[in-house]
Amino acid sequence: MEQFKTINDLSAVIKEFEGMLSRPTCRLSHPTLYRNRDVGKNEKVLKGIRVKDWFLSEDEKWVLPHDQMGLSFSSTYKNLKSVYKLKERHNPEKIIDIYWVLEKADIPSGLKFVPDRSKKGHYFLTVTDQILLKKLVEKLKFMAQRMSVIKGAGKVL
Amino acid sequence: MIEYKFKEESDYVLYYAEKLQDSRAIELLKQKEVKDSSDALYLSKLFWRIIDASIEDEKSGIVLPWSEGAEFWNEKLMNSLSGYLERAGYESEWDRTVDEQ
Repeated sequence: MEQFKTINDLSAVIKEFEGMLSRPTCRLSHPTLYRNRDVGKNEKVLKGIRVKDWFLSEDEKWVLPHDQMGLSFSSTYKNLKSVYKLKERHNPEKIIDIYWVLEKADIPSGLKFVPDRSKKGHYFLTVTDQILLKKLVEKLKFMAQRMSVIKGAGKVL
Repeated sequence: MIEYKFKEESDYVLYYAEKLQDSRAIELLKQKEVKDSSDALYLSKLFWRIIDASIEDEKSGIVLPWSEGAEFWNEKLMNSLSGYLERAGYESEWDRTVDEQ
């Protein structure tokens, strides 16, 4: 994906690719997994999964389906802009890239997107059936490899 | 009415409204709704003030009373507050504040 010169360029791309879901990600961070240094000091991360994002079994070995929990994605330019600005504010020394997937083409089996019922343009990536946490990690790694990246979008958001 | 996905979110936003000693914000949060455009704009701006305050706290080494960090709660709070403002008919107030950032 090329660099974008104007807000309209990026907005048009998001409109053109219906079903495009995106996540602003700090450069050198992973688009679908977290490292301990990416989160708060006392925040729990298991194998790259930010525990509070997902619906886990009590022993935290399994991930269960949930229609309002999972990994956050933006489906609209407006939502993306807010999330991007939040990310940028928290990470002023880092470059923020935008990773994106096409909902219908790039999702591994066993994962699906569900809309946030209370926020337009916000989606959760969740599991379709109960799976082991380590299996979710594999699927998220696989998905990350298929994600496209938009670099240099900060100036136009 | 403002709806939060996590109980801690409402505690978090009230924690910062009190820390900022902002009586108007505290009142809005307790009522869980805005009554006009001026309130909507105030709530929108409160969100970005909370981000700045929470970042300052992190820099100062202040530990929040929750396991998750400020960025996590700010992400959740953003969706809750902006989602509410959209539903209440104040999307433009939220958008305007985002554009100012």
